[in-house]
Amino acid sequence: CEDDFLEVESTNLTDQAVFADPDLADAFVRGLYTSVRIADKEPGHNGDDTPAGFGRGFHWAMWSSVSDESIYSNDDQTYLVQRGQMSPSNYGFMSTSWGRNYRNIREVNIGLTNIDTDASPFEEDVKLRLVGELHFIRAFRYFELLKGFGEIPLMGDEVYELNSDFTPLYDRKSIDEVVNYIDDELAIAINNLPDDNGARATRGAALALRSRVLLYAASPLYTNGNNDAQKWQDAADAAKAVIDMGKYSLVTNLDPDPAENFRKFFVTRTATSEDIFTRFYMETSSAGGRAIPIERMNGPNGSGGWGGNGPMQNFVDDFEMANGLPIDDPASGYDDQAPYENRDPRFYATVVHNGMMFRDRPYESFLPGGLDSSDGNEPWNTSKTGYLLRKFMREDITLNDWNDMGTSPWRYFRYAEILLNYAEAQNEAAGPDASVYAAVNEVRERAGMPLLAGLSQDQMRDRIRNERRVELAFEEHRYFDVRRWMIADQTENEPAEGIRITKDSGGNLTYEKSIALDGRSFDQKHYWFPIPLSDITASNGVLKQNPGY
Amino acid sequence: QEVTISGLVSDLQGNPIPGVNIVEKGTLNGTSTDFDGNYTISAAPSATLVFSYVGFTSKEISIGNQTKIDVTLIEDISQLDEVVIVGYGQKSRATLTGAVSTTTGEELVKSPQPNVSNSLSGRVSGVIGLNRTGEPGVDGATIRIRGISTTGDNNPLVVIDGVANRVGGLERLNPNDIENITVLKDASAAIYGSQAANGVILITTKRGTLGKPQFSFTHNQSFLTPTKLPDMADSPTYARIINEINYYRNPGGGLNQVYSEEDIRTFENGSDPDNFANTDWVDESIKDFSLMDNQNLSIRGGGERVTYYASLGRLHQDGIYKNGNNKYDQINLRSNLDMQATDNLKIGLDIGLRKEDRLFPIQSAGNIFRAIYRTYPTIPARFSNGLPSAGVEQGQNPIIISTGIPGTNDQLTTIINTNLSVEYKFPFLEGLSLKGLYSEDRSFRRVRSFSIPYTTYQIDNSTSPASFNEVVGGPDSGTPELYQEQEDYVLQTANVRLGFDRYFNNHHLDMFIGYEQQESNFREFTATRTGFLSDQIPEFDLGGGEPEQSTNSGYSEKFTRQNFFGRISYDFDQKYLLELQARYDGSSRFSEGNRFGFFPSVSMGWRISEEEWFKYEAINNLKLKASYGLLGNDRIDPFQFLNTYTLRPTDFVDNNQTPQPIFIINQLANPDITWETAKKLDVGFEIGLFNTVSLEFDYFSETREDLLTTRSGSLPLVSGIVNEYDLSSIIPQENIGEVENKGFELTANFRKNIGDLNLFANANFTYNKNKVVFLDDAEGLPQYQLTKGKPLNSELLYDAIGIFRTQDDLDNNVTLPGQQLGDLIYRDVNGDGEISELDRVRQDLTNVPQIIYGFSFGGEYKNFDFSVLFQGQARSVQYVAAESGEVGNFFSSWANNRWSPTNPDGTYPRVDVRTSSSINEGLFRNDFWLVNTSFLRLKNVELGFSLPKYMLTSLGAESVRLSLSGFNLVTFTKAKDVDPEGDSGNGQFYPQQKIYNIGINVNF
Repeated sequence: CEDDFLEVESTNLTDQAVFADPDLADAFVRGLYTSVRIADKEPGHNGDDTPAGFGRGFHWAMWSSVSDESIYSNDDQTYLVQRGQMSPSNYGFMSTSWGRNYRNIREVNIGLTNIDTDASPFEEDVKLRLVGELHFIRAFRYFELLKGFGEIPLMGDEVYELNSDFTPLYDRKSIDEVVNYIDDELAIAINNLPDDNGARATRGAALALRSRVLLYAASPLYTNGNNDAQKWQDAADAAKAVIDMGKYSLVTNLDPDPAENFRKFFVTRTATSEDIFTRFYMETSSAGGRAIPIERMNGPNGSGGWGGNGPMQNFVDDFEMANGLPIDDPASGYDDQAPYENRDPRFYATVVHNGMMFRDRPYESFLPGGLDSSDGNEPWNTSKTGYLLRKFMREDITLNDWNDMGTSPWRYFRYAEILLNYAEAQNEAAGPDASVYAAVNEVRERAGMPLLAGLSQDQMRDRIRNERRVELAFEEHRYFDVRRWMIADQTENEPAEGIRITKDSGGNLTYEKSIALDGRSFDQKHYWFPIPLSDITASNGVLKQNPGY
Repeated sequence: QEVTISGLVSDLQGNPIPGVNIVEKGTLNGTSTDFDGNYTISAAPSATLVFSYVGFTSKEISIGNQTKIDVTLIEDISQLDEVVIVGYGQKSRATLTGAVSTTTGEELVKSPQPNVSNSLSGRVSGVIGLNRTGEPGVDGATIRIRGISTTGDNNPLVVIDGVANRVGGLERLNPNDIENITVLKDASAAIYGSQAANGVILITTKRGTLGKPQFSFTHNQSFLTPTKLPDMADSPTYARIINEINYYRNPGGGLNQVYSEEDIRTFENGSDPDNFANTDWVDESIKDFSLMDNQNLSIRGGGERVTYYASLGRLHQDGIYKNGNNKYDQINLRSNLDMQATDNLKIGLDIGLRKEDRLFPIQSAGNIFRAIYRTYPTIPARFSNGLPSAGVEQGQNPIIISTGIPGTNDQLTTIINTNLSVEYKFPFLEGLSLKGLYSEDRSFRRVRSFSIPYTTYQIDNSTSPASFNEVVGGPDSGTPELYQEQEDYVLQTANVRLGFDRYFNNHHLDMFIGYEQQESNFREFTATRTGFLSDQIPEFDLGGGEPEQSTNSGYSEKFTRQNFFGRISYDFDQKYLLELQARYDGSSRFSEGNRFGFFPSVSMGWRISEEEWFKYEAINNLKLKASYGLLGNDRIDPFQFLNTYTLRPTDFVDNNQTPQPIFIINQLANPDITWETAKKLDVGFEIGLFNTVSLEFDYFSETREDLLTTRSGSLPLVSGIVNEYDLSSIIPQENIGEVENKGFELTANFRKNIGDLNLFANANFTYNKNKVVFLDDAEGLPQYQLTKGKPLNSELLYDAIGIFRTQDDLDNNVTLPGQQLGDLIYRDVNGDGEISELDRVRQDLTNVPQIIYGFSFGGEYKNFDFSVLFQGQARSVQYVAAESGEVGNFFSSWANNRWSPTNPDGTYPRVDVRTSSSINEGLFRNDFWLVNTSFLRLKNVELGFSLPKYMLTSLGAESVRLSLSGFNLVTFTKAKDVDPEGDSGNGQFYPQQKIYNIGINVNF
């Protein structure tokens, strides 16, 4: 008999092969910008969509639908978050954040172990860049964990294997320790990364991430309510460092109409001057490389859409009037029976409301008989709130052709956020000085809104917070912003409202706010996610649960 | 000094018996009768001749001074002399020491079933055959021998004509070609070593017999209908349900928020069928009967040097959809030749060829039944102008998607089984022989799936008269799409065995050693093209030319096995029986140091009834037996001892929107991975009474050690070792689990001839309890959630203890936020005052039954024969919760018994928007939805009538038999909505079939 009869080669690559070849190692590092699908209804490699990046992005129920931005039409475990029913065994799609990020960090460690060694076969500049990217990715992943769970275990550089002792991983480090660790990681990334690197991390991306991390670290939730002016100053300086690069600017040249300019920006598929770090999708493909079909997901049921992440009335109400006054200001001119007239231009670019031309016809959420109401097609796909999401949506495609949809990029970091980060931090550190006005007004001016003037520090804080709400809506900020500001116990205890529009026989419309989802509730414990029950039980209780769960 | 003896062997009726074995006792000197029953043999006058033939009692006759010995053989009712096929050989039933069940092709043919795997249930003790679906072409049973023992692959090893893992398997064998089936349930399977832990099924196909050619022709015409389809709610009921859902959403709005009482009356009286339809989608989509027919022609015979069996068969089975696009066609051909090349050399050549042609609708049966059970009764199937409605979800109208309108999925498989076997008896040493086999099997499978856009309609009442808007369904691209797949599978097996079989006075020694190797190679290539201008011709060159309109992929896998094995059987005068087996088995699935395993077994028997002192006339057979052995299971993903990576070509997109490849970790290495080992013990006895009744009892236990499973509980997510959902998991399997099976089997057979009336009755009963010993439960879990002590795969469910019917119920029980009257009450198991994951309880039962049984009886009287088979299972459950609510219609069991404000005594919870996100089901999977799937089935009935002899002569036939038979005729069960053998959690599957059959069999 033949001695080697049982020697059969695997048809997959092994790790020796991957890290011996610079091209393969490069592809391995590139892969760490994505993450695998961990649960149902998550992005993943299944032929139709692409895997998760950082955060959640466009997939099915967006992060907006566990915040006070929107309600998701098909639940998918978002309602239990909205209703304050999160438990260590189930807290919706965030349940996978823990495992997803630690998986990625472990793989970063594999990359560093094999690449950041003298034995690795790479050109020095390639090696420098790859090492910079790996530290950037590790920083981003820890930040994802930090903003979800607060105190978290740090893995170090070790690659944990099946038979490792996991005890060191059951020790949760303080927030300051974690922030310092992330900051050190970013220092390496900033030092190593080039200014241009395709869709991958650049020096600007690392600086922008540092700006966001330090802003969070200075916020009340992260300092136990102790206002630490130095932390705010560090955050302001970090934002300033991005501004001072002189590389980025707001996009203003897509349309003379500010609303149209704003809308077009989010469906622009290429990198713009405003983009710092972005996830791109293929223009058209039947073989992956796309986000999920967001146009169908969030489209009107009357056209076969699924009424996905329907903006809440609570969110709609926070758009100022075009004159710069909030709607509850008697001087604003707001009419609750003509609620969509003369609002912030960004409202029209972000939200589809009854009567608005959308996809070449008026959107009809009125009852009875509205095409997109529960009297229309597939009533279970009716928007819960009566509104649809317009931001990111292309309107030039049929809802049948899945191959055309989901091409809008997901912008992780864009310049407008940096300006608002700066304004917020500088206002806290030094009060509303000229640089604060300059930063926030740059954003408002692009939006076609009147400039701010003559505000106290507290007034400025409120206006900046509202500016973030409307400017950065649906971009995964709001959920974390209301927590780090520690205002979620107010904002997330308000009833989740939508609009009920009744059309009488004469064609007159009556507008009435209604509950879009009953039982909305927020507890102190919900400032942080619970630690997954499975890890508490696996550690036999050594890993400590967050308070209240 | 030898004399030549000749004679005639016949039965009691005086008919000559061809093929009777005549052996000089204690030697291998032998011959057999020719087709006229005559024989000639040379032997010493002092010798004794043994005459034996399957189904007849052997006879021993001393020669003395006779030269002509005519013998009459009497039919044997105890079947002790029956030859039973075992691994790499055969034995007489009398000397068997293992737990072995048998059945015959003749028996299986009684079930008018297109799939042999479905004919085993109830016929063989210890074999669970669960028919999960009746879809033509994919309706095979899940076969489990004495339950399940691993979280991995529980399928038994199938050996056909001596070749393990035979390409094509057993399911599509022509039952007319099967001689017999043996099931090895205990350590007797150890001769198959690393593949034997789940039990072994041995199948032997028919071979030639000595005699003139015998032609046999069979034709069967069958009528098929589902065993069980759910009753669905009608429109008035569904309209009230929708009203209730809206009432729960907005209680202030009352109970007619969507449909007024007037509307509901319109549903009832059918006066506006376009807007107020009352559609029974099951009725609209599914035929009352579908047809199946098969023909089989065989020829069997042989002369001194060559014997032959050849057959040709054909099967056609239609699906149950109205105007459906669903059928199965099969053609099979077999030729088994045996050649006595020289006095010592025998050569066998077998060739089997099979073509399996499957045609499916473009959507899966699961999707079609999903549409049938979901689509509202309030939507018409067709509008009154004939246009098909859009159903739910973009044109998922069941009466359209089950037809050829959205395209076809055509799957053609060709299977070739060949083997050449050689047997050489060494002339220099009596009893020494060399046997060898080479087999080459191939299969080619091609799938061609052509998907076409199609149009359905929605009524638009905003115009007058109403207009109809198009809703286009079908491929995402909006153009016809072609998908093709080509699979190529080759299995090569070679073995050689050196055997020695000889009597030394009363000592019988039968032993062999052998070597075998097997190599399998699988290759697959798939391609897709979209952008077809026309749906006329599905050929790749007519598809779109843009790069993104074509995709393709490929895959290949190789696997090898290498083994050494042997057996020593010894018996003393058929009284004391001993058998030792061992196999040293190597598999390419493991790393170098873990590749080989050793699997020994021992079994013993004592036939007390053969003892001199045993003088109980009534007891004609009494045997004690026991076996113990180690068996292995290597059915796991290969290469788990390596770290591997997978390329994903389009998962990262660059800033210029071009895809760039990435690698992701596919598999973490477990360098120590090796076999699962089963330790099997079997103790039993056989007893035969009055030559009419035989009983067999076996107690068995199996411990599956080193069970390959992935760690779950003790591996924290924070380690970063986290599995990907629904795709390959990075956590390798480890040999850490342990599972136990214990139970008993009882078989009873009865046979009696009273004049012209021959009667038989058989019964079997198997009880098996499966228990997890270790499966990596997390340390912190409460006792009632542990897998330990519960059956494998048992679910964790909330314990529903009732329905909230009063405010008191709400006040006195632990409630979840938002729970209201009509909701299920969940038990606060850990008493912490809230309902959480920790209140789920591990169940005691699964959908693998703990008890299976079967009993049959029948007989022959003159020209008539009949047989009846009942089959059943008990101690099994299945979770069934339909996809109901605003998303879909309700099974009437729920609809008619739902709690509602107007039906506060309802036995089902209140209706909800969708079951899958309801507090009463999807969010809190609970035991309310467990269905007791115990059942008793009238599995098989057959009535036969053979034409009397005088009619035959004019027809020129030897025998003509007409038969009526049925399969799955009546089922007694508590399962209300779907067939209890289904394993779908939402009932959305192609139902099992009830079959009525008319057959004719002509022999000439």
